[in-house]
Amino acid sequence: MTSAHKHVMLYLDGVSVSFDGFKALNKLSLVVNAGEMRAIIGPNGAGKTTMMDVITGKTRADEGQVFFNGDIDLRKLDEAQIANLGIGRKFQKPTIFENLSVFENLELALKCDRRARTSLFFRLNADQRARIDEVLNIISLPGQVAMQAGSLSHGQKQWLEIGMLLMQDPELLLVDEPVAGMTDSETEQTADLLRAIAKDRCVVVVEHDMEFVRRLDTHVTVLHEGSVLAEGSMDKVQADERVIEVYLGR
Amino acid sequence: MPANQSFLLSLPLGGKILLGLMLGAALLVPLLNLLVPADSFFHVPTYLVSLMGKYVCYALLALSVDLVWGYCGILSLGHGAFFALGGYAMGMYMMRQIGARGVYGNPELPDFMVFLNWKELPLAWYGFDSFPFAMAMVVLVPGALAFAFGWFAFRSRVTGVYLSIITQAMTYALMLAFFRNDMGFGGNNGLTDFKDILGFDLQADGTRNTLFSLSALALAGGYLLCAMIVRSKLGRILEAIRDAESRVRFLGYQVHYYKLFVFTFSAMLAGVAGALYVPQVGIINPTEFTPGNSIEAVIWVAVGGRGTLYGAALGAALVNYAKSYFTGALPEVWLFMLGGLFVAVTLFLPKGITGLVNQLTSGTGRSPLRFLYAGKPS
Amino acid sequence: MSNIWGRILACGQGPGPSYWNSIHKMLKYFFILISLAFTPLNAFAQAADLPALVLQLADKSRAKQSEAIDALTASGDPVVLAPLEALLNGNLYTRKSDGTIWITTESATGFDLKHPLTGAEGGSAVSEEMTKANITNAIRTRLRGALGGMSLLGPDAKLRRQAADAIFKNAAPESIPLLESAIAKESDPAVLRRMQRALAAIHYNLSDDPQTRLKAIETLGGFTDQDVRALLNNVVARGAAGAGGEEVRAAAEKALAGVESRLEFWGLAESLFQGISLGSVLLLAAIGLAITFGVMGIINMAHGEMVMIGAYTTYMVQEIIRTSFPGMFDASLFIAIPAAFMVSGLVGVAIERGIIRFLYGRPLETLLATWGVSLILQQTVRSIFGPTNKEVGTPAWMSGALEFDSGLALTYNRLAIIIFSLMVLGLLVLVMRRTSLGLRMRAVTQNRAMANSMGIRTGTVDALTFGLGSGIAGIAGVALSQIDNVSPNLGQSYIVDSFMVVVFGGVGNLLGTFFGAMSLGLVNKFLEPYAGAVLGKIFILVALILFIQYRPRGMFALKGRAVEH
Repeated sequence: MTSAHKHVMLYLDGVSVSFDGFKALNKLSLVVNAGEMRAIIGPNGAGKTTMMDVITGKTRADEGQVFFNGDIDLRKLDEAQIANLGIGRKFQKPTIFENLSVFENLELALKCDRRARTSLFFRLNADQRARIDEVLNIISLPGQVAMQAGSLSHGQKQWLEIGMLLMQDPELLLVDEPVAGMTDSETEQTADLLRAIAKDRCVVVVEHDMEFVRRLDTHVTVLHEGSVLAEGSMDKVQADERVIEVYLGR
Repeated sequence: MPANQSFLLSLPLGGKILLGLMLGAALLVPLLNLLVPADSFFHVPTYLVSLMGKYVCYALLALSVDLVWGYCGILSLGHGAFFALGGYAMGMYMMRQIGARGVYGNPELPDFMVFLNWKELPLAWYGFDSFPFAMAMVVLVPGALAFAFGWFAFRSRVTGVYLSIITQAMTYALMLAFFRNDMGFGGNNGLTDFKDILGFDLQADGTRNTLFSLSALALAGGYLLCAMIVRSKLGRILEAIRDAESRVRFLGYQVHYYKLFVFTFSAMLAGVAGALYVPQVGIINPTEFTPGNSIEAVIWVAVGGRGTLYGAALGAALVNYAKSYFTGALPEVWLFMLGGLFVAVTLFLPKGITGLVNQLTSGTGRSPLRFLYAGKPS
Repeated sequence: MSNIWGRILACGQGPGPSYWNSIHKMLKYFFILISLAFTPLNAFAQAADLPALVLQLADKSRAKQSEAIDALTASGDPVVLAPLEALLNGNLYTRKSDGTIWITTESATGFDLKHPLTGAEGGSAVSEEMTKANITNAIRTRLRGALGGMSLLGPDAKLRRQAADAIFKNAAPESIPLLESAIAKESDPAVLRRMQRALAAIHYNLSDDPQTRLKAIETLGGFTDQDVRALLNNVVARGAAGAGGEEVRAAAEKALAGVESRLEFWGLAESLFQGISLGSVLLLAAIGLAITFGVMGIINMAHGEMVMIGAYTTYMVQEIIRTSFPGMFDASLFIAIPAAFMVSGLVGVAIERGIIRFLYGRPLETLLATWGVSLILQQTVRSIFGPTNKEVGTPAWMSGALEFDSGLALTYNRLAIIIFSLMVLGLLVLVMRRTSLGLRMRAVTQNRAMANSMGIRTGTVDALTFGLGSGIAGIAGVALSQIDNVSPNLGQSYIVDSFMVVVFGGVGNLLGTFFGAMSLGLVNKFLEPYAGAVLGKIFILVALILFIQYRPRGMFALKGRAVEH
């Protein structure tokens, strides 16, 4: 098993989750390879967010296997341990620390020792400071460095959250609806940003916006009622009878 | 965060004022009490020294509540229990110091045990004749309780009002326990009739002034420690936990360890406050565990302004001064006022007095008196 | 159940005259008439000697006095009670002028006279005209014994039972004739059993005949109470000594085993009853909270004060009835229930509209503000009614108890509260599930924005829901006024428990609240014998604290994404 998973970043097999009888995930199986960018689409209630919850340890799978980076069993770990393995998550609704400054938000996300006693005596060194400046430039917020994060615009908040993901330096990024509520130009910039990030990382994007997914130009997985309905390129998926039925037929 | 700037200089103005006041009072009040003649305008009578000492202890308790509530969002309705436990530890030391001078003249057992016809000292009392041991217990007992409690609560992610309710249940259970005679802590009479501490007569002016100065120094020290914590990276993580706990987890921080650290530290601080309080008021009994007391400490913080530390101290002093005044002058009115205070502060002053002052002075960086000409375009 | 006549008669002693009273008085006379009709004729035949015997009571000779006492007692006629009691109390006098004997009561001028047997008024007399019938200590003791035995024949079932129990304890052989005649006349089955129990105890003690003893043991073995258990224990402990020897001992052992197993059963039944009773009290206190906290998510620390206001409303209703409509006292609680619902409900609506609605989404602030409200309400009540406990009366139909042989007594007020709490719960479930208000409540609490856009006035629904929860707390106050002290602090003692019940049962789940309350009540009562009341309570609190950490959302938790907000 170990060797088979060598280049597999994320491996889900037969994962089921139910809430009070409602099956949010139904024997979901999904494989994402290292270095790959994957878009996940699906109608409301298809289980996209629940899938992310299972991967990041927020929700426990009732059954099935969840492996990361080959042979790390994610089901036994909590959110913090999973995050420290190198899985970053961006939420649907931008969740940043509104009462802290942009700088402090990035500082908290900075990859380093997460233990309480080291945090108490923590001082930024020059390299780390440089890294924060670098990310500030990537997310185009160098001018807002001292601003309270709560007073950023909606799009800027989305970017700050992506910036925080970059500070974490994860091997796998899970991005939930990154362009919800963005203007067209912001959407375009975000797509560029994600493509740039995907160059040296594995990225999984959940999105409703078909245009945006098309722009990402990548492998697509369609979820429906908690399991995989179709997989392939955007064109192939859009031509699939069942996908059309799910999206239009109801 | 400019790291090389001096820590003290970087403290907010309110914090500097608090530190200055406490250091000044620790020095000046004993001088004004002991050296200035009684008929002088500047003389501070002894009762006032003890009263102020009491307020300072309350302020330290408020500080500990603010650290967990204001910065980490943990609304503890059980900090009165940690305060009382610290007080009991100190009280037990002073009970043992009475020795054979009690009413029953038993050199080994405190009066209430003789009265209950006990033959030997309960195990829990062992070691309390030693001052260093008792002082260690002052912080260790509340700390251990908070650690054990927090270990369960924070790991199973009990948050918000659920946590508040179970902290309240905790202090309620302790109150019931301490009311029992066979717990061995004096039942409903508690511990009292103390004679001296480290050989110094508790009634003597010198002792009272020393206790006051120590309390003031403890408040100053407690403030510095808390400020150090909240201004470190750990402090920012606490604030982040307060605002978006699950997000902090997804960043890779083990939230419960952070909560556990700050909750335990805060409980120890409350224990110190209780230990300084008891010799100044001369009694500790189970009513200190009543849930109402703990909630009152929360309202001090709310009045002063949570999340500022110095505001908590200010609130404790103000509310308790008002309490002393009104329970003396208009006892019927006090509970109406206290109740009204809870309502008014939560509805109209969510950031407390310091929040109001900050808003008026620095909210927009303009004149502190700008509300006087509000409405003018600027 | 058993002493129904006694209960009906006891009702006549309720406070103040009322129409209930007059009904019961009529019943009482009716009962006496009936019992007179069935009194054996020979009782009337003996009655002829009574006046002479009563006269003899005042005799100077102690021997004559004793003789008269014994003869009067032996007559078994209830009318002789009055002169015997008067003699004991020093109220029996002879008139010097004509040597007649009278029962006296002191008046301003001297004495008012009453005929010792008929009770007819005999005018008045000054003290010089009368001579007191004196008694010695020996006579006094004899009188007490006689009177005790006499109450076996009296009209009061409770006294008859006490007398029978007293005889059981003494097991004096001379009580046999009296006891036997009492058994022949007894109509109340419960009292009859007590008399038979006493007779068996005497037979066992007295007899040298192994068969009688065995029979007595067998009879005793049919009873289920601590006294019999102690007696049989004694027999077993004494071993084979006495008549009947080993056989009697073995029989006693067998009887004892039966008694003990039945006692255990009854002990269990008692714990069960007390547990359910405590559970129903907790349920009542928590049920309103299940609405405000469970359904709306509002932390109302003034919930206990709503209960307290309900209890004070009950007090006020009873005061008004006492002063203006004294005949309606027994109906007072039925008037108090809607009154308390209205008063507490209105206070609740005022709190919601005045304070809480500005704090939605800020639970910790709500907690603090409502704590402030609770202080204000307590002080208001203290200022109006004073800090001391108020006396709330119990209607006649709720006093008394359902009693069993084993000593288990199910008091009617506890039983009423159990039934009442279930009715309130049932009604509430109906309101939530079947009415349009309930539908709106659930809609608003589940999705406020959606409900709003569908034209539901969320503000009104919030106020009504909170009012409903508070009103139910008020109703709980009516019930609690029957078993707890009505003071300004009444609510304080329930607030922690109520929250524990709701959290334990599962927030937002009325059925969970029911199970939460009942299991806490039962565990508490079953723990009490081992740990004591306070330690048991502490233990439960600690267990609950641990439980909440294990299952933060309670026993019957809702799962799913919707819960997490």
